Order: sequence, then C-alpha cells, then structure tokens
Amino acid sequence: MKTTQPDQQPVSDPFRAAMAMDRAGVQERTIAVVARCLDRKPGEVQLSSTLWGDLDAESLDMLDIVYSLERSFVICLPRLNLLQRATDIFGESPIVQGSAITAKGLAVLKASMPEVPESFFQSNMKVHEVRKAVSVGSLVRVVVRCLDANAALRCKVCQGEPRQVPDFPMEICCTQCGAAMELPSGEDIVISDLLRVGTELGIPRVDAAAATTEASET
Amino acid sequence: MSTGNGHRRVVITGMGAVTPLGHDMDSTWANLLQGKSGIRLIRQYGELTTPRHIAGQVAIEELAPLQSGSAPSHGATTSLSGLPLGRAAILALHAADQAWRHAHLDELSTLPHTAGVCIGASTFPIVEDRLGHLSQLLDGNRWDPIRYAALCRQEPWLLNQSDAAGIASELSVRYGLTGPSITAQAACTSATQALGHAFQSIRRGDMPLMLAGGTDSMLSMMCVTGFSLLGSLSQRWSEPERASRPFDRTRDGFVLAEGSAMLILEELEHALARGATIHAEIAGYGSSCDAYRFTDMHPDGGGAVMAMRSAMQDASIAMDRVGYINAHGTSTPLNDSTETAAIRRAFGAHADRLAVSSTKSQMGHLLCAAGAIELAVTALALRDGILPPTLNLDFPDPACDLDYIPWKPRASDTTVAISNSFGFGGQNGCLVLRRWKTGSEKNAVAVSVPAMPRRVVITGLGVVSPLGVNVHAHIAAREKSACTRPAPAGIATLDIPHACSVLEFDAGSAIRNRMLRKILTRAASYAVSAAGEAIASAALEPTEVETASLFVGSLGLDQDLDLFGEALKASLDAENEFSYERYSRYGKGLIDPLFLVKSLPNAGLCGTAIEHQILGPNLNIMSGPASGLLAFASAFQQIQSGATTVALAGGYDSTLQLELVLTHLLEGRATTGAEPDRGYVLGEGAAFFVLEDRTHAEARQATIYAEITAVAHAHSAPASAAEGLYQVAREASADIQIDAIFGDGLNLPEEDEMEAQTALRLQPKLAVRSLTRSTGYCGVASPLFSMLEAVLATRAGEVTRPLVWTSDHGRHHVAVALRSANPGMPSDV
Repeated sequence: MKTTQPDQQPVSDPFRAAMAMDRAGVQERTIAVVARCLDRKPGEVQLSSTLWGDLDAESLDMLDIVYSLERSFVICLPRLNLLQRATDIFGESPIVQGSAITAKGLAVLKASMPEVPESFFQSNMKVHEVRKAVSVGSLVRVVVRCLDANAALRCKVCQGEPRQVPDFPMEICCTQCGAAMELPSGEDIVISDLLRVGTELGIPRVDAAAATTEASET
Repeated sequence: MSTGNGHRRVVITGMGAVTPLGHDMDSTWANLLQGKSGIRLIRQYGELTTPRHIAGQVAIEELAPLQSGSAPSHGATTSLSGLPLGRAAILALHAADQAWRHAHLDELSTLPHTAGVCIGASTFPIVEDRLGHLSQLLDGNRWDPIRYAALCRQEPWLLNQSDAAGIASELSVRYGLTGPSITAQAACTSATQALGHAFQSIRRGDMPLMLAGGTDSMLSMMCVTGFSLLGSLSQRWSEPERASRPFDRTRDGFVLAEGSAMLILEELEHALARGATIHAEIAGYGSSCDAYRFTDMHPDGGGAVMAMRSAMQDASIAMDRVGYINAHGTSTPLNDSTETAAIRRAFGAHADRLAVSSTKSQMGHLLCAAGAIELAVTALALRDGILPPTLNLDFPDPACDLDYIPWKPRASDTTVAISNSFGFGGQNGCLVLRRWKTGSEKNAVAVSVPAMPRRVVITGLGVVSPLGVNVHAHIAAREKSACTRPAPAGIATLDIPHACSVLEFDAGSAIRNRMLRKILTRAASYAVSAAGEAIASAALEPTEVETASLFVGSLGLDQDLDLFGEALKASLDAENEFSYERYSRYGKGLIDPLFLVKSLPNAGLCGTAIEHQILGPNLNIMSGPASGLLAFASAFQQIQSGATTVALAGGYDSTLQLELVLTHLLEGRATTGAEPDRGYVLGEGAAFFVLEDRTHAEARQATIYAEITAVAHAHSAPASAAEGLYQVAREASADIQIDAIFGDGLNLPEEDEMEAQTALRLQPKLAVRSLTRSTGYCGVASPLFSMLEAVLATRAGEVTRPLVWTSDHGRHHVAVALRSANPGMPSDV
C-alpha cells in the first residue's frame, strides 16, 4: 500500500484514511467488520477462519460483509466468483469438466489465492467446494488489492491524487483539479490479475466473442 | 360459509393470461410450443447505456380493451375509486377479463354470493414514481415527512399503488364477487398458495367458484436493484433469449418477468350444471416450509419433497402416475440442482420415467404470478397432450440429470401432472392436475375426508403489544392506555402527537436465530416472539410443532423508505434532479444488499417457521388489516375439515412507518393534534394462537381456552360495508345467542355507528367491546388483540358465546364465533 504523505490528508476523508492504513490496520478492521456482520466477538474471528466453515456464514452474510467492507474502506470489491470469472476468460473446458475443476483450473486458483493452504486444492475438487477455501485472510487480500488500486489512481486531467467528495461516501474526485474520478472496479482488478496468472501459467485467453459462442452452442 | 363435510371435485373452467410471450393464453401457449423466448433488453433504466438489464416485459399499452360484461364501463388503467392503477393491477384486470369470458361467466344470470377471489401479488413502493420529486422529498439522507405528506395529498395514487391487497378488492368489486377476497403472499410461491387455498376452499364446500391466480410486475428500478444486489439475477448473458437456462450447467441466475394469469376454479357439479367447458381437474395441493434459510434452499430439498409428496397424498394419487412436472426451475445454480434432487427423492425410480420442464426458460420468472401461469400451462399440456420444452439446455449439469424436454415440445398422453413453486423465505407449494375428458365426472375418485367436521379449540396464546411483550404483561397493563405515549419525531412533525410503540422488546433475547435477528424488521420480530409464546403456552411436543400448519396475516408494506435515502441523494445531479447515470454509478452501491430480504412481506411467517422449526403447510395472507383474523379463520377451516390437527395462526403489523402513517393520516383516520378526540392512535404488535382439533387437545390434556364454532368472511365495496359486516356476523353466529361482541372501536363516527347498528340488528342490548383505546390501532394485530380479549374473557367465564369481528376500510368483513370450552357443555356444532 502506498502512503507517501499520510499526515497531510485530512482525517475526515475516510477514503484517504483507508488508503493510509497499514496491513495490520486493514486486518484489524476487516476482522471487526466480519465479526459485526456475523454477530461474533472480534476474538472469535481469526485471519485463518474460513467464512463458510469456521464462521458458519450464509450467502446473505457474504453480501452483508462485502457491502460493509466496501463502505468501510471506500473500495469497490468484485462480486462474481473467481471460478466463474476464470471460465469467462479462459473458456469453460480448460477450467471445469463436469462438476470438477481441472488441473489448470486448480493451478489458477492456487496462484490467485496464495493465502489458502496448498493442501486444500486436491485434484478432482468439485466446483462448489471452492468457497470452503475463503477465509478472513482472503478478504484481507482482496481489500488490500483494492486499496492499492485506489492509491495508484491518478486524475486523467492533471495526474492529481483522488480524495472523497465530502458528504458522498462512495464518490471520489481529484484533490487538485476537482475532476470526478472513479473507484477502480473490483471486477477489473480480478480480470487483470487472472490474465497475469494465465500468462504465468501459459493458459491462453479465449476472446470474449469466442467464449460466448462456446457458452451458447448446443 | 358452509361447514358441510362432503368432498367436492374442483375443475378449471376458464383461463386468462398476459405474459411476455403473449397478450392472451392462446398466444402464450402457442409461443411456448414454438420454443420462443419472451426475454428482451428492458428500458426500465430510461435510455441509459449501463447497466443494461433484461426481463420478460409486457407491452402494456398494446393490450386490447377489457371486454367482459361484468366490468363494462371501467377501463383497465383506472381503479373504481378513480385512481390510476399500477402495472400489476392492470395486468391482473386483463387476465381476469380473459378468464371470465373464457369460462362464459357473463352468461351466468346470478353469481353465488359466496364466490370469491384468491390471488398472489406483491407489494413494493415504486420509488420511480417519486423520483421526479426527489429533491424536495429528501432532507439530507431522509425523507421529509411533511413534504412527502403534501405530495401524497396531491397524488394519492402514490400510496394506493403500493397496496397489493387492493388488486384482489378491485377484482372482487368489478366482478360482483362477494365471498372471500384473499391476497396470498409467499414470495415466488404466492400464486400457487392462492390457487391451493382457493382449491381447498371449494373442495370443502365454502363456495362453488373462485377467480384465482396471480399477478406481478417487479421490473422497477428498485426491484431490479434488490434482486441484482442479492446476486439472484442472471448476469453473464450476451443474448437475452439465452439468459434463462434452467438445469443447464452454465445457468447463473433467474430472469425477472412481469405478467398475470387468472383461472376460474369451479366446483364440478356447479360447472356441469351450467354446461361449462372443463379444461383440467385440480386434484391436490401440498404446502410446506423449509424452515432453513431465507434465500438458500436446504441442499437436500426436504421441504420441496414434502410439498410434492403431500400434494400427491392430498390427491390420493400414486406417485408413479405423474407423467409431467412443470418445475419451479428458476435457472439459479442452487434451485435447479436442489429441485432435481428433491424430485429424485420424492419419486424414487419413477423420476427417470417422468418428464420435467421449466417454462421459465421462455417466459422468465413471473414471481408472484409464476405459479398461476405455470398451472395454466400444465393444464393446457394435459388437455392438448403436448408438453412444453425447456429452452437453452446446452451443457448438461451432472447435478441436473432428469428428462427436461430440451428445446422441443413433446407429445404425451400423460394424465397426471404437477406444478412446483418454491419461494424466498422457504415456502413451498405443489399443485396436482388430472387430465379431463368427457365422462371424467363418472370416474370414481378416492379421497379421504373426515366423517364429521372436527371441533376446533384454542390451546395457546402469545402476544407482543404496546401494552406488553407477553400475555402476562399485556393483561396486567390492559386497564392502562398506551395512547398517550409521545410519537417518534418524524411522525410528530405531521401533527400526530402520540404513537403506541411497543416498549421493552428486545429482539436479541426474544430471537435465537442469528440471521433472523439481523434481517427481520421489528414488526416481523414481534411475530416470531408472539408465535413462540403461543407454542410454549400450548406445551406442544417438538414433533407436533414441526408438523403444525402455519397461518399468518402479514402487514402490507414493511419497508423504510429511508433505506434508500443515502443512495437517492447520491443520485441527484448538478441540477438537483435524479439521474439514472449517477444512480448506477454512485447510488446503487450505497444500498444495503439485504434490503429486499428485509422487506419480504412473508418474513414474519418464514422467520417464525425458521425460529420454531415449523415445517408444515402454511399460508401467508396479505389482505390488509383483516389479514390476521383471516389467517385465524383459515386455520380453523383446515382443522375443521380434518386437513390438519394443530395450527399456529396469527399476524403482525406496524402502522408506524412513514407510508402507512400517511395513509391513515390522509384518510382522516389517525388522531391528530388538531382533532385529538377523533380517530385512533397508530400502533404496532403481533398476536398468535395455537388452534387444535379438540380430540387431540383433550387426549394430550391441553389447557383449552375456548372453542371456535364458526367463521365467516365476505368482501364488499365500501358503500356496502354495513351489509357485509352484518352478513358475516349473521353467518358466524348462526342461530346462537351471542353474549358479547369484540370489534374494531376505531373512534370514527361512521365506523363506530356501523358497528353499533350491526350489533343492534344482530341482537339488541349488545355493546361492541374494543381494546383500541388501550393498544391504539395496530393494523393486522388489532383484530387479533380483540380475539385475545374474547378468548381471555371466555376462559375467565365472563362471557360464554362471544363474537369477534373486524371490518377494514369497508372491504373485508370477518367474523369468528367462540364459546366457552367447558367440557360439560353439549356439542351443538
């Protein structure tokens, strides 16, 4: 996370304040958000706690957690799950066969979720089992990634840094010229990260039109 | 209402539909068989580029004018009271018009006076209608009550269109149907519940004819937002026609659609006597509750299995006679695999011999109307011997391994088919249809009906009221009044100085389930708590609770408009006008993704089922303030006819939300500072009762508080309210000498006079008792507080034959007669 001159930023700007947090701060706040959403004491939530397993979260909790993290850190988190996005980018058959994940699919997941213990990714793993890997640490990774993207953002007009528009929680603008700026999209971040992983692993991208054709051919 | 015990057969004699596939039933059916799709890009977001949305939309402006003689002078776009109607109401009027003509009911010289309406419908404030006034309505992140009141005074239809119960009333009055007028609300199972309830009512002999079905139009901005934030909608589509892909491995959510289907359900002898054409026979209905989670089906599909099995059992037809299932098949990853697993569990090896299809692949999901159009389609499949296909089945999913009739319709001589519906909240419904051929009336039909109507008693009580959060506290405070409590600031600014809020209610200690504590509104929490007290006071065994039936009357609108304040404020542009572009870029992300779940009108029922693990048949009635007493009456009828042994019945409401406060204020009913002696103080609360077959209650030596002897329900236009109330009071009290009346006591000159006159007409020297001056007017809960009063007075020996009645805004009239449970009393039921 890039925080060049945090002291110069007004404390009342939650957007800049979040960008200025160190990793420990992000972890602490993420744990607090998760604990509040799941009605647990912060002490019961660890970085390694899995959401669906250890913390017994339901799908509605996940929506609540993602929304609360976005509001808290002023970020835009991805919604579509990683595996679905991977099949969009690399095509269905290289990633999933029937209800099981292919070796390539597993390699993509491993590279994309470094916080998950290697042993979790067993060959022949089923599609619906992936979510069992998601831990509080996974959330922290994605939050940090989005905060990094926020910090790297520059005004298209004058290259100025972004700040929050006062009174508008999810709106940002340039600190120098005041031009409207847009929060980096979590979906775009996932796509660019997956493309990088694909390049590293030598999995070619299927262009969007081709992927669509594959998905709609009888 | 008849308490006869004969078993009647129920047939479909008319059908009408307005769907994304056609403006009538015939064109919808023809397009289904041709494999067409009704899903397109929609323009709900104006001319905006992103986000684009798809849906099954009806070109409402192209619909032909209404034709049936029963509503000759009224168009389809204006209500009988002269206000513009919402889309769901317009669609319903068109579908009903078609069904009425299809059944040739115009040719009937007189309608049976018990004939009624029973439909599924939704409720939702259409925020779009308020967008033009947004800059003046918003005060920071909140709605300004005074300016909103001024707007609603100018444009009264704004409040009117959020009132889903009004659609059934409109149909009742237009078609001269004076029997029950019920709106069922069970999310996506609504229409199936409505049809199931209508079917059961006709079969019991309550009436010979019902207009039943469903209508829905939830394509507005906030509805699309709500479902989309929940991740329920298909998003990975590139061609709209391909997005709804039930049972396909690449399915990723459902596609919203609007429309309506209405059916004429008729008692067989009545249909034959008038020479009606019969299209199919409804043979059985099954209902269950998952009691698991709000938006996730239980992975083993237990609730769905129970609905299908109990429907077949109800029809007395062997499972292996079923040849076709019109599946719920939403195209969400979880529903389709769970439904498949449930069909396998319910039908065993026979699952591989039956055909299943989801017509949602072509029409999308009509939500509260889905069960109606799907039942109509199933009836046509049996009649014409051809099964509609499932479109977009390209990639087989190992978890969906049945015969789904991919792409092309199939000829079939199957004689029995079922239609499934499963809703948000966990309510499941299944209807069984039997093919009808000339001469089918002569076929012997096996049924199980009790030889004698069962006697029904009350064995459990629970309440959360402004007087107290349990029965003990409520009774202790009965002599005091909650009506002098100061109103919350927002309400007080409207010159409404007092409000009967529930005090000292702690959801944290009253509700065990963590998710329920998080998502239930206060009003729904009262329901869960009051239901729990009733169950505990009845001392039922856990297995009896698990199999009990659950009947709930729910409030119409359970939503706080302030939920959207922040998002709408962020959507104003430089000119202070609402901008769709700003809404999708900045506004949407500020909306709580759970708001739709939090405002489900069936949340009280489903929360109660989840908290107390009640898996049995259920019905959620959303017909305005009479809903709770209607739920109570329905529970009585089910037990009396032997369909169930133990039922939990009640209701909940809060009239303290801005939209509702305005409704009562603008109608001149709420007490204001200017007129402190007129009208009622607004309040909130819930009350529940355990109803039980007397034999069962006696066998387990339960405390019996009172016996219910009769119920009656009628609907009228407001102008005929006095006659309506008198009619139900007469019917429920029959020939007996009642000794007390527990009524509404609204402190309004006309209403009070009507109650007094009705009492006088019924039996001289009887005053109407009411608790409204102590509890305030608590909507659905108030008639149930009357019931609680009557039960307690009966138990105490203070009265022996009380009558409880309610008459809301002059539309629904319900009466229930009780008597002391003294076992020495001779039975004269």
